[in-house]
Amino acid sequence: MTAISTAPPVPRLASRHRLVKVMRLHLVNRLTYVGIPWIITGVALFISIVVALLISAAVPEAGRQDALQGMSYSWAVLSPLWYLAVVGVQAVSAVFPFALGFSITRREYALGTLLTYVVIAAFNATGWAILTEIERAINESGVVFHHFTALWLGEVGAGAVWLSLFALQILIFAVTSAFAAVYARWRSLGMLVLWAAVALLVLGLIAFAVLTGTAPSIIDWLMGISTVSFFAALLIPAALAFGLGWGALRRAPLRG
Amino acid sequence: MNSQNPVIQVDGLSRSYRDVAALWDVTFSLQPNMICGLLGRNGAGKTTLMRMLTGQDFPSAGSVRLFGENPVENSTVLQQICFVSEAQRYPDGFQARHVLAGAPWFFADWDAAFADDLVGKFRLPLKRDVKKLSRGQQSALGVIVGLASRASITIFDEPYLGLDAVARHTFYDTLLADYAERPRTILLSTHLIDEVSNLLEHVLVLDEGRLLLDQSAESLRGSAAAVAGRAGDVDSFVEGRQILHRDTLGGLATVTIAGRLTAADHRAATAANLEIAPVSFQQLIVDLSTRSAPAPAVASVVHE
Amino acid sequence: MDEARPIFQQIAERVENDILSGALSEEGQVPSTNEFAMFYRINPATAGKGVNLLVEQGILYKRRGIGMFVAAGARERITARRRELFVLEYIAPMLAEAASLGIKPDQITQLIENQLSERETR
Repeated sequence: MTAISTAPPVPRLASRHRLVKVMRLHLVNRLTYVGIPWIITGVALFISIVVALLISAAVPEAGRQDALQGMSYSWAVLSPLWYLAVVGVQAVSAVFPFALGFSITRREYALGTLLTYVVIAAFNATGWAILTEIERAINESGVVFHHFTALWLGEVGAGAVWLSLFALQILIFAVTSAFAAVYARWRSLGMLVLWAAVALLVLGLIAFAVLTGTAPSIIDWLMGISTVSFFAALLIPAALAFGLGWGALRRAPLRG
Repeated sequence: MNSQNPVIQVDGLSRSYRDVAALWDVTFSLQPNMICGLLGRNGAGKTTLMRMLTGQDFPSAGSVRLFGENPVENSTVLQQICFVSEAQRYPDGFQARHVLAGAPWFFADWDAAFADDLVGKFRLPLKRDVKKLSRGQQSALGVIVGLASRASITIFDEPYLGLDAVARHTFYDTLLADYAERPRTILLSTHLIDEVSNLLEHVLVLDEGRLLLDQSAESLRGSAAAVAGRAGDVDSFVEGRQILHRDTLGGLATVTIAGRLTAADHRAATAANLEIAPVSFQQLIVDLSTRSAPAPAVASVVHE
Repeated sequence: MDEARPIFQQIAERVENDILSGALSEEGQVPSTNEFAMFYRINPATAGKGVNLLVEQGILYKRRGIGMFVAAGARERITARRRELFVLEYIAPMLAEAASLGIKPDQITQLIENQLSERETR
């Protein structure tokens, strides 16, 4: 019989190191996090350009400026964000079980995934903010075109644009992952309870505002706060959602 | 027997989902560096046990110790484990090359050259979406990860669903060759018992969530015999012995009995015009897990 | 592999057979445990047990760092033991079968002699 020691000592890798590895695992297929959002960005931009050209061709000279200005109400600039909701669900429904198969702990997975979200959101926000600035410069040169400079994005500074895009992405990632995590832990019953809780919370807040007669002042207050404060505040529900997701995932069993 | 510390120790482990007990009071320990088979019918609790060994699922009662520690959320322990699950899910758009690229980040002893070699042997397409691979190709990917991880504890759950006979033998041969070079603990669940029985050093058999057998493979081999002949003769021969299974055809009977037969038994059987045939490893497991005997009877087989 | 008996015994027997047939010569090296395991597709521990059985019986001996060799006189020892088993494993069952077929003792001797002379003429 060969006698060999029970457990060859494995160096205890710094957990920081492991988190970066989890991020690399998320990004090993770059199409998911980087490729598709930017393909959507490209396609949406292309459609906006075609629409702008059609408007220029179809609308008489007089109303053309106004019509082109109307494009600033399109949601096209936010279209890649909807895809990120899919990414947030998939990160839990597929990458999580895959990560456990690679002997990653739940904690390492959760923190590594948060790191991935932050890095990806920052990367995308930077790219979109730069394009917003470029478009703003083009508009200042007299060409009227609104794709990135749509909604509030044309009206605030570059920093606020970046923060708003960053916060929106983080919120979407966190909320969709939290829903997927609740499903992973408690299945359909969990989904039911979570949706009911969210609905009750929203209804409760509205009822509170209406019944106490504070609704108008709340709306005034909401209209009054700055873009930066508003989007920075989105990081609070994002953090709550992430906490909920972690709480669910911490004891979520893998099932076949 | 060597008296090293067990590499896997399971005590009174139970797992129930709502009111269904998937695993019930399972206790065993495994010494390091052996190939152990985890056998049993579908739904016997094999996958549930493996998931709890690897911290993927949580016990309702009892404990699991790997290298003396609880594996749940234990990075140091988990890094020495590779669990290849038949039901492994892969992220959308993941290709085999993505899986193999990520593996060395998490398995300290990963051997990339070995993995490449196995990709060739199993003819695994690297640049196709894993979800579009055939069942057998997905299994091959799992087998490659499990073997190339060279983890101190490597756990294979039905690793070769969909693999053809050639690929399965490639797996057995590679496993043996690599194991001979680098002994480690390998836990293998399967229902192709006859194919793997010669590879196993130890056998655990689960049935309906209970541990039916925890025994060395060699001691199990030949520990049962089938006695065939006229029903009356057979019955008097097997009287007082542990009966595992009984078939009758007209006035003829075949009875499988537990325990090794002595030369005197053989002479007695020959004298009584009875035929004695060996019971294959697989048949023995099937007989053990289909009969509805109470638990104490099982224990007497185990400690035969 | 025969299902009824432990594999390590069967491995030991096969090595003995190879020694008897001259495929493995005395003082010649025998394959390693791992080579046996690979060849017969069995667990290396089982192959090792078979080889160790032969070491205990003095059929094989170990040279540290080199490998396993057939001991001098191994052939003779195996032959001697197999001769003892010959009665138990061949003669006794033959007589039992003969009895169940109603073949009388003098008929058995006659049949054996016939077989022997047939072999000689061949």
